[in-house]
Formats: sequence, structure tokens, C-alpha cells
Amino acid sequence: MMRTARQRPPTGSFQVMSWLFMRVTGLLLLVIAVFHMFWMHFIIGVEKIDFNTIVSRWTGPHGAFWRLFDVMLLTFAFTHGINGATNVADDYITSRGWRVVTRTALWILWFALVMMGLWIIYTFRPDMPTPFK
Amino acid sequence: MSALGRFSAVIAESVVYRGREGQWAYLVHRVAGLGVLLFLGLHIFDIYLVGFGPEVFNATLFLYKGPAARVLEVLLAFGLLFHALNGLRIIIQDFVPRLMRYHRRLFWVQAVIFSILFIPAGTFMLKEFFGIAGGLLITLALWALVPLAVIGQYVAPTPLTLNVAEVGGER
Repeated sequence: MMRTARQRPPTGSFQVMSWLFMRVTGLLLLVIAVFHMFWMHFIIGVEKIDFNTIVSRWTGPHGAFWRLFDVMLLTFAFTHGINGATNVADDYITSRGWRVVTRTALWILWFALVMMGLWIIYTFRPDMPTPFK
Repeated sequence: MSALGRFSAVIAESVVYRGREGQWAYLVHRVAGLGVLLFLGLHIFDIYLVGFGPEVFNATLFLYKGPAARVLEVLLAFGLLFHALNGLRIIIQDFVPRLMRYHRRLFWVQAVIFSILFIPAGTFMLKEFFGIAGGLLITLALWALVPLAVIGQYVAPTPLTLNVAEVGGER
């Protein structure tokens, strides 16, 4: 009885791509985000985490693997999250102008934090020059 | 009505609106998603700080250490796991539409899987500071959100009439 109520959405539009993106990244994050939390809390332990944890994660034989893993986690999770936040904002913000303002602010935040994350994942060296040295 | 007013109206209505499992799953999915996003923003920033050297980075990590932080981390595990499993249910229902007819039963399957994973995980995470019994107690207090909120929607006195215009449903 409900079959006719659910029509297939038009293909190719931004909204459809966004809908599909949330499902694809959602499935990926179901594995990698849950695994990340399991790894850090159950295998390593939060109290033991410090600078040296990052050094052993991002250097040595498995460094490339973990950097790739962290790039995927960073980009998928934060893009999924910011896109979700724009969907939530659209439910409560009905004026066109304020929607533009919220979307712009959220995507600027997305760009800034993704760039910060990618920068540190790609450039990190244990002896890298720091602003306070 | 302002966006903030609309938002609090939705929260207020959601507590008493008898949409039952589906309504409650939607609300927790949304709040959990925003909560995890908030943490993620903080987490990206703190990892960025490893570029400032061991002193700055290690000093920042006080945020995640100690018993109070650990309880918040269990709350994060709650949000991540609930959002993940509820999202998986939504994906399955989206791609196999006939399962929509059993959405309530699927929610309870999801709730059982959530409980099997969350209760031992929360207890394990808390035992370092609170012991097994204390950890289990705190975990159960958080977990109780699932059965209590759903049962609460069944025993709510009167279903409120939702004012669609007031909660931002108009276009």
C-alpha cells in the first residue's frame, strides 16, 4: 500500500548525491570510526596516549597505513558531519538568507578543520620545527 | 518564530509527542550526530596541535584524562554506536523499502545489538576509575535512556497536537 508513496528521486541532482553520500560514507564510518574508537580505548587506552603515541602511529613501517587511515577518517567523518549539520539546520532555519549564512559558515569551518587535519597528517615529523622552539 | 525557538519547540514536543520508537530514534540520532560532530571538531584541533611539539600537545591532553572525561567518553561511545546502528537501519530500510513495514521490530533488534555492545564496552571503559560494579552502574544509567524513553512514549498521558507551522514545517 505504501509502494506508490515512495517514488524514486530524480538522479543526478545535488540533493540525491548528498543523500547517497551520507549512506556510502555512513557505511564506511560504521567500520572505520567504530574501529578507531575501539582501537584507541580498548587496545591502547586513553590514559597512555601522549605525543609518543602519535610518533609511533605515524612513523615506522606502519606509518603510511595509519596516515592513510587517518586521512580517510578525517575527511569522511567531518564531511558526513558537516553535511548532516546543514540538513539539521535546514529543518529549523526557513529563511533563505539565514540558510545561506549557516551553510557558508559550516562549509568554511569544514574547509578550515579539514585543511588543518590534512596538513598535520601529511607533514608530521617527530622533529618538525615548532612555533615555540 | 526564531530558529532557536523553533528548535526548543521541537525538543519540547519530541519529549511528549507519542511517535514512539521511530520518533525517539530520530531525536537521538540527531542529537548524537551533532554531539559526535562537536567532539570531532575538538579532536581535529587537538591532533593539529602535535605540530606544536610534545609539550603543547601533552599539556592539551588533560582534556581527555581522568574520571570525568572518561564518563564523557562513554557518552561519546553511546552516541557513536547509536548513530552508527540507527544509520545502518535507515540505510537498510531505504534500500529495501518493504522492510519499512517492520521498522518498529527492526528498532528493537537494533536496541538489542546496541545493548550487547554498549553495556560491556562502557563497563570496560569505566573500570579503570570506578571498578567493574561502578562502571556497570554508570553504563546502565546511560543505557537506560533507551528503554525508559521508549516506554515513556507509550505511557505519556495525552498525545499533543503538533502545531506544524510552529515547529517550522511550513514552506
